Amino acid sequence: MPGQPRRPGFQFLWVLAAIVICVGPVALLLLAALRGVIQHPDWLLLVWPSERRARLLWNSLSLSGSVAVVGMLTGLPAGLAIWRLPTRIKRVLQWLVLIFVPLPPYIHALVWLAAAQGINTVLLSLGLPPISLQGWGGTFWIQWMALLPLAVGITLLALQTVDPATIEVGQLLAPGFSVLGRIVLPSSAPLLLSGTGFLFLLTLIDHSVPGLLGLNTYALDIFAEFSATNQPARAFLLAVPGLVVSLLVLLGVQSGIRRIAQPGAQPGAGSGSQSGNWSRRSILHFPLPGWFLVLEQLAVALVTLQIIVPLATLVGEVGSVDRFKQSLFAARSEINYTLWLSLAAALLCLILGWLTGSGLSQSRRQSAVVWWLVTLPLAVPAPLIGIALIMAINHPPWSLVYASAAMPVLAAVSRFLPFATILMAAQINRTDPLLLDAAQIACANPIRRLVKIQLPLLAPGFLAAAILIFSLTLSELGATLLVIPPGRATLTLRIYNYLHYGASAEVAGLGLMLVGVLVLAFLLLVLGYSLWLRLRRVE
Amino acid sequence: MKIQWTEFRILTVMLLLPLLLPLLPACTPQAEKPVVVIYVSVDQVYAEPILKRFEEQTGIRVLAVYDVEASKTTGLVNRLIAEQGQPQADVFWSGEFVQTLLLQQEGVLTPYASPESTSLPDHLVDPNHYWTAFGGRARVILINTDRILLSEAPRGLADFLDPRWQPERIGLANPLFGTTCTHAAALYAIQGPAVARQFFADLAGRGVRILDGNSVVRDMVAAGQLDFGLTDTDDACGALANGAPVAIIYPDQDSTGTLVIPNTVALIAGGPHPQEGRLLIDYLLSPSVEAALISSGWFQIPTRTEATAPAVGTGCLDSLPQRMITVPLADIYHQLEAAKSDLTEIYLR
Repeated sequence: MPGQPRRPGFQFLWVLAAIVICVGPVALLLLAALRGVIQHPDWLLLVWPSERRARLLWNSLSLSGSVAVVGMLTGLPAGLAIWRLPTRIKRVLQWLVLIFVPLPPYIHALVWLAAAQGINTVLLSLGLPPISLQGWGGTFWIQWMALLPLAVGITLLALQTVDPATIEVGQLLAPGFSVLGRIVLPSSAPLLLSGTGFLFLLTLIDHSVPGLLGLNTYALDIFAEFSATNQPARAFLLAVPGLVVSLLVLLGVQSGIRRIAQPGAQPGAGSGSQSGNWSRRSILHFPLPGWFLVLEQLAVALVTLQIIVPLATLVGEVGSVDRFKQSLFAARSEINYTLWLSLAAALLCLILGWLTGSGLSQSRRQSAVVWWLVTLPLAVPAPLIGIALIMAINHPPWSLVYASAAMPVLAAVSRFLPFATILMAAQINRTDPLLLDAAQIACANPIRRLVKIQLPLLAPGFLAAAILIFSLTLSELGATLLVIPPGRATLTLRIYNYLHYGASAEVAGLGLMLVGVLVLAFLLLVLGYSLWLRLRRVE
Repeated sequence: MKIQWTEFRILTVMLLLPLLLPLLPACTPQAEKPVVVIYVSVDQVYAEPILKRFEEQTGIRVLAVYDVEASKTTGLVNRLIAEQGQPQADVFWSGEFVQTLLLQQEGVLTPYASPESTSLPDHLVDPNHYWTAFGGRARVILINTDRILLSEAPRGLADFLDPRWQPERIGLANPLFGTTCTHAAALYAIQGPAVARQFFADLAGRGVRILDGNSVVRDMVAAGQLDFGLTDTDDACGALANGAPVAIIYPDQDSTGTLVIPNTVALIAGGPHPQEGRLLIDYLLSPSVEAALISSGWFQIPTRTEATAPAVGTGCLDSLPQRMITVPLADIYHQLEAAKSDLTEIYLR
């Protein structure tokens, strides 16, 4: 900024803050584990998986790997199909696909089990054998369906990183499928691979769906250990083999993240062609072979199925509008709190993610270690994060914070900040740095510069990160339960409470509400963004 | 993209705003109303009305945190242990006793001899008054009456190994967690570890279905996906209340008896509102609350004779079990570790 000395290094503080938030809980668990090992050396044996645990680990790895690969292989053609649609339809569809992201996988499982029961009634009446959603196959199907919206979302985001100019050039030189194979896929590959890694990690640490469907996994073993001993240190030690695998996956993911998050590391970066390309969609009408279009249609059909089945089942279970209204009224305080909590977490993650992503995208010198540290919470089971937060904050002078409604926000930030950082780093990288530098010179007022130039340029990344963090916070359970202040409850906690009670109509009503809350947030965000754009045009 | 010093300050303020917003409720004065904090491992739908009534009667505001079955007992108990240095809760109310005894062992609880406990049977009151038990849910066999005639129904746990029943049509909740785990520990205490271990190994060997929770057992029996299963009376009564074609059998009435798992309530050591905590414990142990919890369907087995009438009058239970397992609760608790260790080896493969 002219006339103002630059103070290099302060941005590093945000990176440091993000590392503390992300790594702090894990570091505390590690310390507790080390203390435990010193006092009980035999605990160290937990780190090395026995024959039984090795089998469980294999169950987990095969499931997670299959869900991640198949999920992205389905998400990719579906995302490509949506990406090539006219802008208006695309905008609606991409939000529609994402509305079931916040529905917890456990609810997805219940929905699909109910659907399977209905299908089986028909199959049996026709004399056909019933389908079973038990075991590995059923767990795979439900995790695949539950994560499919996220896979499509990641694909859409990855495709946003493709430089339109290179597609234009590619179409001139070798039109058709070559554009997809030689330009679009290689350019979006880093984020697609990262997305595959995230799907892998999300499946690896989930114990709820495998538990429901009778598949023994390593995550369930960790929970059994935690439940049996109530020792977070032992659970953490037991989690080490899974953590090692997760870290290897994260290393792979990071190469993709760093590639998109560092200037000049992707085609077209810094060329000035990335800015404002949201409306440049005419160039995307490149011809594709028939077999690929069939693949796309199949993938879109699966995504449609993934939307229709949960929606129809939930609506069917609710039964009547009056019952839905009753559920809505009974859960009004939970709805208010959940909305506010998710908004606060999304806001915090956005700003921290922006600052951290901006710091990390500045230099090639950023080591893999920093990325590794920032993404570490993705590999840690949620209850352990909750326990670590209690260990960290339930002391003077933090008692006020611990007893406040801020704790679930902190838990959500600790768990989901990596997503915001990655998304913002990707967005910052695909924004033309020349425009940002020009803004520094042309606009002296920092608030005007922030509102008029920087935020509009980063808006797509902000929107994507806001919706993802909002969705994930809506469905968070494991860490929230451990830190939620007395007298408060979230919508997801209420759903799980009703699950035991067996009130399926109420569970369905609350599940619909969860979806409704997200749709409302989508609409408000998108409408607000459109209104803002219009106002700017009027100005 | 480099961020300048002024922007840094703007962003810091923006960052602090959402951070400070959540703190506001903690700073809001609550009109000097006395408060009590309770952690509840009882379904919210049953516990909430009871706690509301306490608020109305005493003017003490109750701040509750409710556990969920999906947390597999890694929820509130671990929170209480982790908070031990600076407890936030005053009272712990659990739907069973094992976790309460664990908290006692961990030093989380402090003794309190409630005057209401004098009317309870001796075995339900800890000799050192760290906890008091009341009411109870029985472990029962829930059968689908569309598939099994009542006269031919299984009568005990041994029937789970009877070859006349197809193993894939029999189920129980995962014995590593919840009341099924407590039931396993009770069998260890009654039959001895070797016999009990063999029973569970035989169940696994037969291929009897292991499900995610008692509510799943209930739902699958009610839907006819299972012929029968082992569950708790609150779940079983829920299925009956919903009009499902099911019937409840008290197992082992001619041998060891039926296991009844009582609720427990305890005062947290160093809790912020001990006086209010004691009042809440007195209230929860009162006969009127026991009767209310039976009427609402949370538990079905009364611990006081005057509460028997609503238990059998709710339309769920025609009668109470004639023979119950009488092993001391502490003995069952002491078998828990061995049982969990064995069951992990048997079932988590």
